[in-house]
Amino acid sequence: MRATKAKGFILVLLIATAACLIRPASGKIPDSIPCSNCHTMHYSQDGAQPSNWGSSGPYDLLLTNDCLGCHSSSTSLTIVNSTPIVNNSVAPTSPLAGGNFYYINISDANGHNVIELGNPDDTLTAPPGEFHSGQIGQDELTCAGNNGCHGIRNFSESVGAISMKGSHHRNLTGQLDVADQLWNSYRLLNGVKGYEAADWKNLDSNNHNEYFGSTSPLDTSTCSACHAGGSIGVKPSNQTISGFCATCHGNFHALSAIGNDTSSPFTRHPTDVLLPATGDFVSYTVYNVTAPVARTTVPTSPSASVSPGSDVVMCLSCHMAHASPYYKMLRWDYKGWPANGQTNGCNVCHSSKN
Amino acid sequence: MKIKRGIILLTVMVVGIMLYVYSVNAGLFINSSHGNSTYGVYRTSIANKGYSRGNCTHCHEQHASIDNAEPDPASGSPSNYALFYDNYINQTDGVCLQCHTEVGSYQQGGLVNRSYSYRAGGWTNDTLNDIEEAFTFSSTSTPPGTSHHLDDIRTFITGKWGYTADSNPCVACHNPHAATGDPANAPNSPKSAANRGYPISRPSMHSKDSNAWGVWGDAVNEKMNSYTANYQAPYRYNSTTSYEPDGSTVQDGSNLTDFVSFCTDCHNTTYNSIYSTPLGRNLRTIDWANEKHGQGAPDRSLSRDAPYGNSTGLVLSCTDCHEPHGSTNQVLIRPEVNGGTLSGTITTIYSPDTPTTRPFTDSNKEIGYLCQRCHMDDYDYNTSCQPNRWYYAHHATSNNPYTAWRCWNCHPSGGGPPSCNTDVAAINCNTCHFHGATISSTNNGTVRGF
Repeated sequence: MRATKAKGFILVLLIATAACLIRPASGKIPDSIPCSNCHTMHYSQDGAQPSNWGSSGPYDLLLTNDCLGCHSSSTSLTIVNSTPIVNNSVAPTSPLAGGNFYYINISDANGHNVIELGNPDDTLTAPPGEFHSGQIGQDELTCAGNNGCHGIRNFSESVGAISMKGSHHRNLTGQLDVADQLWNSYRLLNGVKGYEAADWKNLDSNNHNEYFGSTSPLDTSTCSACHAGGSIGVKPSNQTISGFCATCHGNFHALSAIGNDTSSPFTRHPTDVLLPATGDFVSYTVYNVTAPVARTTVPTSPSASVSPGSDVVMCLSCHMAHASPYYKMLRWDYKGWPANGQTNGCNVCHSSKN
Repeated sequence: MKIKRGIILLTVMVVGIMLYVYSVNAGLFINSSHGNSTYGVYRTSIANKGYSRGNCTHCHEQHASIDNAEPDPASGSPSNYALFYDNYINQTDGVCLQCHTEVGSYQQGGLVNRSYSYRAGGWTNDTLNDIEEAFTFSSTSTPPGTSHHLDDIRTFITGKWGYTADSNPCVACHNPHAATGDPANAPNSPKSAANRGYPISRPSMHSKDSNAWGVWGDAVNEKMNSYTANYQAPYRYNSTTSYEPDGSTVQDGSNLTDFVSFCTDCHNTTYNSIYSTPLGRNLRTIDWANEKHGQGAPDRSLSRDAPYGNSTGLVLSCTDCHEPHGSTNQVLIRPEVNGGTLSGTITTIYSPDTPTTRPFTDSNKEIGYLCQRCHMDDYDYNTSCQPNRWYYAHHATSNNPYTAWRCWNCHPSGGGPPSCNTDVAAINCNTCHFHGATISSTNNGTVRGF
């Protein structure tokens, strides 16, 4: 009888543990998870810090760790305890859609050198194509906050976890076509619309994120293009993923950067313009995760189809967000092509230039 | 035995897979001279960053910047089509010519590109060795000459076949994503059957889709013998056994691009107002289906040099006489034709658009330097006569067009006893001989002058 009770207790414990580990695939932390999984009152447990806590605390919001503390792994797995891993210390077997900071260990040129990595960029001292000189200096790029990508990018709300305050408790997933708050924005990129794949991955034409795009890039002749809402904070007024990138790389992706209109010839490769329904572009009809396109309407589910003339080229058509195995965080080994004999992702759209 | 068969089978499978993979990866661009990973585009500043030869970035800077700086050449502002240099500026300046020059090229090591006379004609003494140089030829250049006038080409193509005012005039004739070297990777060799390529694409087929706008001349129905069954290839330089364009023994045009269809996309009778800035007038229209050097039936027989002989009805290719880019001769006449160089430079061409002044009385016979290469002049008929005089052709052959009588009717100098060695001053050849000319012949009626 006693043994039976013990077995039952173990079974309940296992189920409870499993329930805690199984979370919806989003940035939302389930209410069922104990607060102490992430927070600590004194940054101290029995007079010390447990090994699964970060060592550089105490942290804002009474957290036990910083961004990478939770989103890193010493394994090759990229989903650990239902947590998306963006920074593996060994080569990831199946990187998430945004890529993996592991590749910055190979080359600084492979990704965004956020300072949390402790591996500053040896070449770049500012965001390439920065619109405002001195916007973000060398070794100032962070995962989140004013100098980062995620969270509220506002001087007053500063850096790191504070900029994410509360969003992990409210975050939505799937179709995010409002994006008027951080917690209902795509991947906690403030103000950006999109569709979040449940497994964070761009696996194939049927299973992938859907990115939001526009038929015209940000017009940076007005401050509100990047400072939407009139606040001092930064978020793209057109709510697109390319507009988001343009808030730092404005001289690459703004309307003025590509020749001041949305028709060829462009002075730089355009983003947030329609994939033409002419020439060799018409061959791109099946969604290809090597060079994905954005949609002008956020869908309710991923689509395997691409419609030239309706879908949109974006920054992420060529680049990964975090880091990739390739130079300039591209999605393929562009620099080595054609000598490498591999696929050139350019040819996904420019199908006859192969 | 079974093991041996297995090894063979496995080898065949592996090779087959490799060939399949190669064929999947191989495309128009990487098979082009620009996209070739062995000898393709290789801008020094991009090569120094480790980019593969043949990579797009050698011509296109997607962000007009790498590592937050503009690679050399740094103009300070981005260029159309994300090119590293302005697409087109003028006759000798633009993105193409920034690499297609032997000296000062952004292509690592410079680029040598030879004339048609060198490549097809086999005249390897031609010192012209880059495209930029070919386009410098003008009335004021040293030496003077002529070249396809790029401003005029751009004006002409704008609004046609998908070209716009932003189009590069070089792209009127070349698809930079498809053109193959001709010869490929052998800048100091004439073409051969093994190394020849196809550098041109028809302007009338222009498209941003290279599958629709591939190179012209590589398919069977894009050869000169497809245009006409009456093509006779000229000799190669200093040879009577090898022929243009590749030095082989093929003579029927089955190895020559159908340049007539290519050139007459523009130079036809429909487009009758193509203005030439260097000439200061519209170009002559060309009706190659009617002209006697084209598909038009001959007005009479005329003795010719080998390999043309006495056969009639032969059809020439434009490139038998003309260079594509530039020449030290007027109207881009080749310096070498049919196995030999012209005996002089053609410095003057008279406009046929002022008929009231004809016949031209200055006795200019420079165009005869070209005619001599295929037609028998007086010296060919009789070595006691003079080269580049044409008494026999006009007055002393059977079915001649003009009886040698009352010389002063045509020759202002008057005449004397009918002979090739009289002191009769020649009429300027351009009086009667130019594209589209029709003239009145005393013995043959109205005939075509070309």
